[in-house]
This record gives sequence, C-alpha cells and structure tokens, in this order.
Amino acid sequence: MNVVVLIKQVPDTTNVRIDRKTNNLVREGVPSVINPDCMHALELAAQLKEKHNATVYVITMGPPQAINALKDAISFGLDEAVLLSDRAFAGADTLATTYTLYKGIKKIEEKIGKIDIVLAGRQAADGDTGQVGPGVATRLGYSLAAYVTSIEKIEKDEIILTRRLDRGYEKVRVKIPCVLTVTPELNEPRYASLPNLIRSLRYQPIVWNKDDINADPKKAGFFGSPTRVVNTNIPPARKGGDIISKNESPEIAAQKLLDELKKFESIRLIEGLRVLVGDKK
Amino acid sequence: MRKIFVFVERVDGEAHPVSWELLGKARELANNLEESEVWAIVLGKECENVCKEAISRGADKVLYVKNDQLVEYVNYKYKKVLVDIVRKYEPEIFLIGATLEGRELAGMVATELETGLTADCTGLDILPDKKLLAMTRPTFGGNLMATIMCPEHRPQMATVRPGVMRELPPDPNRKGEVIVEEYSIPEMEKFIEILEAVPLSVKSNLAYAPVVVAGGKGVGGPEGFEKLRELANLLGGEIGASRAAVKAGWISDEYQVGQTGKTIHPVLYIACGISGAIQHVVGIKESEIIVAINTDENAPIFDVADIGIVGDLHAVVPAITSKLKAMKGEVRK
Amino acid sequence: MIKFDVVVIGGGPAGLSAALTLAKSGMEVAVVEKGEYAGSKNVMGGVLYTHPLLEIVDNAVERMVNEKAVERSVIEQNMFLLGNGSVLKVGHRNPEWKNTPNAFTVLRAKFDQWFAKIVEEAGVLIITKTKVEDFIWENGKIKGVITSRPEGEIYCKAVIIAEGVNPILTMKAGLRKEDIKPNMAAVAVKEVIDMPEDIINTAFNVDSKSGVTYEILGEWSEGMFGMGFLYTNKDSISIGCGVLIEELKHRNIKPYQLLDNLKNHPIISDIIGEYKNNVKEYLAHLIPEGGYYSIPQLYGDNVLVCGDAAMLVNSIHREGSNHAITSGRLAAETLVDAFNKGEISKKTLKSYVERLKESFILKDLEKYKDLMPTMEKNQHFIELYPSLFNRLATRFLTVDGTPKTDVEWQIIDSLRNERGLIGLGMDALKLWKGVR
Ligand SMILES: Cc1cc2nc3c(=O)[nH]c(=O)nc-3n(C[C@H](O)[C@H](O)[C@H](O)COP(=O)(O)OP(=O)(O)OC[C@H]3O[C@@H](n4cnc5c(N)ncnc54)[C@H](O)[C@@H]3O)c2cc1C
Ligand SMILES: Cc1cc2nc3c(=O)[nH]c(=O)nc-3n(C[C@H](O)[C@H](O)[C@H](O)COP(=O)(O)OP(=O)(O)OC[C@H]3O[C@@H](n4cnc5c(N)ncnc54)[C@H](O)[C@@H]3O)c2cc1C
Ligand SMILES: Nc1ncnc2c1ncn2[C@@H]1O[C@H](COP(=O)(O)O)[C@@H](O)[C@H]1O
Repeated sequence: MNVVVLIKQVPDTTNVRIDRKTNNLVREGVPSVINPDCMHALELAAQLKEKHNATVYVITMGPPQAINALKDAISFGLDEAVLLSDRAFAGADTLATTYTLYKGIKKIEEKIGKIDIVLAGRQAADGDTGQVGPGVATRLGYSLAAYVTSIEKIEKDEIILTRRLDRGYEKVRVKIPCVLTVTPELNEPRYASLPNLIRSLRYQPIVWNKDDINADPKKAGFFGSPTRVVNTNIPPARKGGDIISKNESPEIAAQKLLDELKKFESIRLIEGLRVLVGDKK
Repeated sequence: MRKIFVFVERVDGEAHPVSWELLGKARELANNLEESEVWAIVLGKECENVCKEAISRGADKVLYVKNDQLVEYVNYKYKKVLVDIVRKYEPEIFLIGATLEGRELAGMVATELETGLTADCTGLDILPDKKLLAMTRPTFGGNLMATIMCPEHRPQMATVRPGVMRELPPDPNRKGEVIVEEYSIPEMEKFIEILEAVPLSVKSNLAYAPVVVAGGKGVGGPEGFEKLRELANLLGGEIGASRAAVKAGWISDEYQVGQTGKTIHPVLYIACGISGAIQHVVGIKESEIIVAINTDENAPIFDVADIGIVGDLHAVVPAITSKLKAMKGEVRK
Repeated sequence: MIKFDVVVIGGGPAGLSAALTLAKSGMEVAVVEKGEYAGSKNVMGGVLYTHPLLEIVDNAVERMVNEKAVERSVIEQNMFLLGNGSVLKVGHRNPEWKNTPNAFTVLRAKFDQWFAKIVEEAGVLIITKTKVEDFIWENGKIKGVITSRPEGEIYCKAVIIAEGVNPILTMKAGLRKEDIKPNMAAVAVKEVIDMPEDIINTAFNVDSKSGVTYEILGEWSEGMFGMGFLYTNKDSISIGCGVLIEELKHRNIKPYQLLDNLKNHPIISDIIGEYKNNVKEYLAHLIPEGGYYSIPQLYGDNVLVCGDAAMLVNSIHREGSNHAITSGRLAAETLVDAFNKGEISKKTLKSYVERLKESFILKDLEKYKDLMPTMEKNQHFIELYPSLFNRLATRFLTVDGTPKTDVEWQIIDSLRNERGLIGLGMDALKLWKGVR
C-alpha cells in the first residue's frame, strides 16, 4: 500500500499578534509549526505503516523553511519527505496549490507505483479553506471522504469509515484509491520514539522544483491562481461599554444589569425580557 | 442576463438556513449588478416546497434537478451535476453555504471547473465599476480580514459562513420560475457509498437563538451549565460555550461558539466565565448586546462587552434568574 | 541501541559550549534539550560578555552581529540607586566598545538558537523536545541517560550535566545531596517591552548598534535584597528584577508586584513612558545566588557539571552566561584529556576543578563569596542607603542660599541620625571585606 500525506507548515496562530499602531499582523518571531490537523493525518499514516506495511511519503509545497516541517513529520516513522519548492509555486491560491501537489504526487507515483491513499488535514490554521483535500482528489480522479473521524476497516480496495457532516455523522464505504481529510477527533498524534526522532533530525528531505515535477508555470503559483487578494485589513475592534458592577452583591449586580438592559431598544425582540419594559405579552 | 447561482443545501425535505441567507445576499448583489438574476439550485426529488420557498426568499429562477439519485448528498454525484449545469448555464457567480458539506462540494466543483473559490466568506459585495464580486473572509484565526476577487475566471465562487448573512422574510407574493432540469446521471464508478447516517445526539438552536447564555472555563464543570441553561430557558434562548469548556468535556461541541465553532449574532449574548480570546470573539462580535460576567476585571472580554459585571458567575447568574422570575411573577399578578 | 561518546544534558550556553568543544575534538556528541528548541524557555536579563565565545567560535563577534544573534553592543553601563521619586546615578560610557564589543544585550530565544546552529554545524546532534529523566547505571557508574521518549535510552561514555538552575539530575548523579534552598536562588521576572528603534536611540542617546544598561537598586524592592535591571535591545527593552526566594516567601510578595513597582517608579516610568504597557513577553526564571558556598561536587565517574547547574553565577556582575560558556568549555576540555588518557573517572576528571580555579570563574566567585551574605544580613544596605543617599544628593545639589559648610554639616547630621557614624564605618568595612 502506498500512501502520501499532504502537510502544511503554518505560523502558530495562537501567537499571531496585531500591532495596533501600524495595524499590521506581526509575523516576525512567530514560530512555524505543522498545521494541527495535519498532525492527525501523519498519525494515521504512521498507523497504516505499522498495520498495513504501507510505504509513506510526506509532501508539502512551500518555501525552503518548510523543510523543518518535513523533518518533524519524518519523526512519525515515515519513509520519505518531499518539498515542492520553486519561485514559480509562490503566491498560489488553492487551485494552483492543488495543481502543484497533484504533479508532485504523480512524480512520487513514478518512483513507487500507484498511490492508494492520500491523506490531508481538514483545514489549515492560516488559510483555513479546507479546499486543498477536495481539490487534490478531483485532480487525481480519486474518491473523496472529507472530515474523517474514525476508521473501521481498511481492505484491499475499500475503506469503511465515519465522517462528520453538519447534520451528523455518516458511515461510508470509500473506494480506494482515495483522498481522506482528517479531523482531530480521529486520533491522538504520537510522541515520537527516540530512534525515529533522531532519524528525523538527520534526515534530508527530497526537494523538487517545477522542472522536476514537470509543472506548467502557467498553472502553478501566482499565474495559476484565479483569485487575487486585493486587500487585507485588521477588523476594527468592537468598542466595549462600561463595567457597571464590580464585586458587589449578586443581587445588586443582577438588578443593575436588568436596569442597564432596559436602555437597549432591541431587547423588545426578546420574548423573555419584555417584562423589563412592562410589556405584558 | 448575468446569473447568480445559489446552491440550496437540503437536509431531508428542508433547506439548510444558510441557503436562505445566501438568497438574501444574492438578492442584494443582484440589485447592484445590472441585468442580473438570482437562481436557486435545488437537487433531489419531492423538493417542490423547497423550490417554492426559494422564490419567496428571493430567487428569480429555481433550477430544480429532479432525480432519485440525488435525494441524499453524495459528493461525487453532486459534483458531477453542478459542474454540468454550470457548464450549461454559465453563471457569473456561484455561492454555496460554508457548511462542512458545502465546503467539500465547492472544493471539488471549483477544481473541476478550474476557477477560483474563496472559502468561508463573511462579506460579499459587488464592485460597481468592475462588476466584480469582492469576497471578504477572516484568516489567521480571525486576526486578519482579506478581500479576494476572481477577475478572469467564471463563475466567481465562494462559500459563505452560516449565520452571517441575513435572510429575507418569505414573501409569498414574489414571482419566479421553477425550471425542472431534465438530467440523467451517467453511469459512474461508485466512489463513495453511504452505509448509515448517524444524526447528532444533541440538537442545538445555537446559531439562530435570539439570546445565548454562554459559559467558558470559569463555569467549572458540567453542572455549572445547568444554571446557564435555566437562565437561557427563561429568556427563550440557548446555551453556548467556549472551546475551553468543550475541550474540558463539560458540554458537547454542538454548542461551541467562535472561529472553529459557530458564528452567531443573537440580540443578547451573555458570556459567563469566558476570557474573550480572539478566536472566541470573532464568533460573537456581531451580537447586538454583549454582556460579560467575569471575576477578572482585566479579562479581554470586557473590551468587547457592552455591559460588564465583575463578579462570580455562580452567584450572579442565579441572581439574574431569580430577579427575572420574580418580575415575571409580579407581572402575572 | 543509540550510542554517543558524550551526552550533554541541556542546550543552554553551558551545554552548547561543552558540546561544541567536544565536537571540535572529533567526538560524537548529543545534546538533549527539553524545550521546543534551544533557548525556547531560557531567560536572562540579557547582557552577554563576548570574551568566552571568542575562544570557541571563530569570528564570534562578526558572526553574532551579522547573523542578528545579538541586539546591541553595550557602550554605557549605569548603576541607579532609586530614592523616593529620585535617583542617584553612577555610570560609565565608553564609545570604544562600539568597535571592540565587550558585551551585547541579547534575547535568549534568538541567541541560543544561533549558538545551537553553530554547534550543529560542528556535527553535534541536538535532540529537542526531549527530557532526560534519569541515568542508566552499571556497576555504580553512569552508562547513559534515559529520556522521556519511547525507546529513549542513549548509551554513552560520559555525561555533561548542563541542566541549569534546577539541579534534578545533578542530584540523581549523586553530586548534590539536597535541592537548592530558598536562600540559594533568586526569582527573577522580566518583561520585554516593544519600543521602536528610533525612540530607543533618542531616549538612551545611542545609535542603532549601541546599547545601554541600568542596574537598579533601591525603592522598588520594598526593602528586600534584590537587583533590578533595564537593558536596551534593538527594538525593545528588557526590564526585570530578581529577589531571593526566601525573602519573597517571608514577605508574601509576588515578584510581579515588585516589577510593577519598578516600572511605576517615576524615574523608570519617565524612561519607558507610553510604552510601559507594550509588553511583548513576560518571563520568569530562577537565578542561582548561592555563590561560592553552594557549588556542588563538580565531577564524578563519567560525569561533569557546568553552568547554572554548578551554581557558577556571579550575581554582583550579572555574570552567568559567560561562566556557563567557560565552564562548559573547561568541562569538555577535561573530558577530551580524559578520553585521550583512556580513563574517564573521578581521578582524571578532577582536573576540571583545577581548571575552574585557574580561570576567572572560581576566582571571582571566591572574591565575592561573603558579599551576598553581608548584604542579606544587613538590611540597611538596601532599605536605608538608596533613599538616604538620594536625600543627601538632593540636599547637596539644591542651591537655596545655605552656605556650603552648613550644607555639609546638615549632611553629616542626617548620616549620624539615620545610621550612626560607627555604623557607617562598619558597613564600609563589611562591604570591603565582601569584595576583598
Ligand atoms: C486555531 C484555534 C481555534 C480556536 N477556536 C475557538 C473557538 O471557536 N471558540 C473558542 O471559544 N475558542 C477557540 N479557541 C481557543 C481560544 O483561544 C481560547 O483558548 C478559549 O476561547 C478560552 O476559553 P475560556 O474563555 O472559556 O477559558 P479561559 O481563557 O481559561 O477563561 C476563563 C475565564 O473565566 C473567568 N472565571 C473563572 N472563574 C469564574 C467565576 N467563578 N465567575 C466568573 N468568571 C470566572 C476567568 O477570569 C477567565 O477570564 C481557538 C484556538 C485556536 C488556536
Ligand atoms: C532574569 C535573569 C537575568 C539574567 N541576566 C544575566 C545577564 O545579564 N548576563 C548573564 O551573563 N547572565 C544572566 N543571567 C544568568 C544566565 O541566564 C545563566 O547563568 C545562564 O543561562 C546559564 O546557562 P546554563 O546553560 O547553565 O543554563 P540554562 O541557560 O538554564 O540552560 C539549561 C538548559 O537545560 C535544559 N534542561 C534542563 N533540564 C533538562 C533535562 N532534564 N533534560 C533536557 N534538558 C534539560 C533547559 O531547558 C535549558 O535549555 C540571568 C538570569 C536570569 C534568570
Ligand atoms: N502547500 C501545501 N502543501 C501540502 N499540503 C497542503 C498545502 N496546503 C494545504 N495542504 C493540505 O490541505 C489541508 C487543508 O488545507 P487548506 O485547504 O489550505 O485549509 C492541509 O491540512 C494540508 O493537508
């Protein structure tokens, strides 16, 4: 069984700050991490390797620094890691990203044969689109199951799994080859063993540029991206009101709150608060 | 005519509320885009009522792809149908709700059509001079808003976050046309097959409740939510929760509000024992009135709250409940 | 089985310096660091003296500057005695330090990562996010370490302990009988405050490459023995203070209250002005303050201790990282010699202590060994003198028509009233003895 895991390196969004003076996002000094959802894809890949003797490649498209994410990924005990890096890939939206990843996967296929399962995270913490998994599946012509929460069984040409949708969970049979995007519910990423960690620290990922994967520069990166970010801004902060009660008795605090609420016209919209404005209905 | 397509997501015989929100928005866009009309796309069978409602909610035309095989959402079949009808009718704009299903489907459709897709938008506008759709969406955990356009490829596609746009009240007098599309699904490989649907054990009305009483880490445990529930019931509302409370296992994730939970805009939001992290606040900042009850007067939630109370929620919330109960009692007398 | 010649526990300045020295002599070295990366949780005020690095890294100064490992070259050092609303300053400025840097201000997360990169380039394997939990013993000798990871044993011929101020493994190795006591360490808290580069340049009268340090005694510490500091980084300042744990416990004061005192003192608050609340980072850490008397057994069979773990800090001159780097190097050199001799035992490793004694480290620590106890036992050094001296200075410098002889007598009177001339004499003697 051949498996490819798509991972993305993202800034640790819990550390992103806003410089209120310049109204810029401060990215400097913000550490990069493997996108949290991708950690669960890596864990699943490690299990496939253990239980199904899978050959696992990890792949990412990104700048040279993304090497670090790939090395970390190898610590899950996986086989090889590939960085797709080229100036021609820069500035990609999801359509161009899926093109480049697709070409990368095809190149891996040349080396190890038909890819059975492609794993991705549900969404990336920075871009947060959740579109790359479905896009790659479409380009490959594979079946797709997004938002996988548990896997019941894996057979030669199908997987039975449960996935999350808005209205509930859904147990499905998915034909292999397939793309799965996974949610944090699926598993708990492991703490790598020391031998695997040491291997990952010494490991040098494979780096491919546009020629290596035979990518058409018109379809990759900025030129292959139909969408354009025309503007970014920091959302204006909502202005707070006053603290009306500080460490007073709960009764006083409650009374002050109800008195204060009366001042808002819109509370008439709330059934349960009409008593405040003397509406008997 | 420029067509604005709106995909009507359906759960059994009913449309997902986001579909009506999108129709409301599409109507507004159509008003700003000359010679345009709003098309609702409905897939399934026995959807006549949904089609009718789509018109009353703002659609000029309803494209009804009536087919037995489309009763359930099956991603590869839906993709095939949508791609084919887009190729046939060539809409300018295609909007899909950013539900989990919607995002999966949109990602497949846009890739097949090789067009741009903007995810999870919270704002849509027409740029009058260029007649382009400007799509605004939060990134970096809500810290940054990006405005995105798709100048050359068609359709301009976006998924739109549920709960952000306002739907129009149904107008039974609106006129529109239902086009029943004759469409037969070609023989295809069975990529994915639904074996069993497991509905959610808890159903919350969170996204649409006029009042939300929400609890965070400060609630201290599952029992604490009972107090919030009592107040919420009294106010005719629903309870909500921060991720910290959900993560602690005190309450189901159906109740989570925020970036990775639901975006809501109730008339009244009462945050109890919630610190007010940015990822939480992005989900509530469109609320009309925000009340915060927190023991820590420096909690960031007070920066966004209209009314702040520094105090212990375990004492203050029951006090509010009993005050209100007493008042209601008096009124009845 | 995972095998190295030497395992170094801790990727701070001491451990990195030891590892680099070992690798240069061709040894296979692994550094085990529990943090996300070297320096991720490490804290210092941050003045780093350049001299110890020059001995182990080629072109250390140029590289540090070019690779942005350091903030500013310190060209001016000041001592502030804060009185009630006023300050008495002593300072020294030498622009020559711009050309031949003596010390740099640093932020540890940046500096340690830079240092770690150099060490890795020399062939050392730095294993991060991994904690050493115990040793592998065989026949009473250390044969390796046990880490927090699955299959986490590493076998080796020798271990260097550079774990910093919490001597957990030093104790497990049997080199320290009991944990450090509250009077052997200070709790230090520190904030990094964002301040634009040009504002710093104007406020401290420096160019973008040069920086300034303030050591601050007096009013903020509520009578406790503690040292405050304010250092200029590139586009931020580091401000913080340290007080003995014992005193904090005794007085039940939280360290950040003291930092607030310091920041809100009119003199300090004037300097940092509107940026006061631009706190980018808040850090807390221990500083070994036990000095000479708290140094553990420094060597055993197959094992050496260096840096803060060996309590090699001179708190008077805020020298810690330089002692760490030097002691790391000396420990490594001792080991290399022992390897060459073919015997790594107490006997061959004993020369580590001799080397430390020959170096400035033990000499300095010995010199100051009685100063700290003197200061601690004599509260008036802290409680009285800063405010007294400030009042005296004010009196001396206020020209109000009082004849100078009268001013002098007024000063002598207040000295006599507040401490007594004999007391003063005694204090001078004690201080002199402390640094003798
Ligand atoms: C990628 C990402 C996505 C995220 N998405 C979301 C999201 O969708 N929704 C979300 O909520 N969070 C989200 N978070 C998490 C978010 O950053 C915060 O960690 C979380 O919102 C904190 O929850 P809290 O306010 O309940 O807990 P805390 O931050 O621990 O705050 C608890 C508060 O309760 C107060 N308190 C304690 N006891 C009492 C008492 N007796 N009475 C009154 N007050 C009391 C405390 O003073 C404190 O302010 C996300 C984080 C990341 C990184
Ligand atoms: C507020 C403050 C201000 C200071 N100011 C200055 C100054 O201006 N100038 C100066 O020279 N010195 C200063 N110091 C002192 C200086 O920081 C230390 O002396 C120096 O860092 C000691 O280096 P070290 O390598 O011995 O220890 P550390 O830097 O503490 O490094 C120890 C490392 O070991 C790791 N570790 C610990 N246990 C384990 C384990 N079991 N397994 C794996 N890894 C482990 C830790 O994560 C850490 O990275 C200051 C200290 C403080 C707290
Ligand atoms: N540049 C990329 N390289 C590899 N995988 C990616 C990349 N971008 C996104 N992905 C994968 O797609 C998932 C969803 O990302 P997104 O669609 O950007 O939210 C991630 O969790 C990754 O698995």
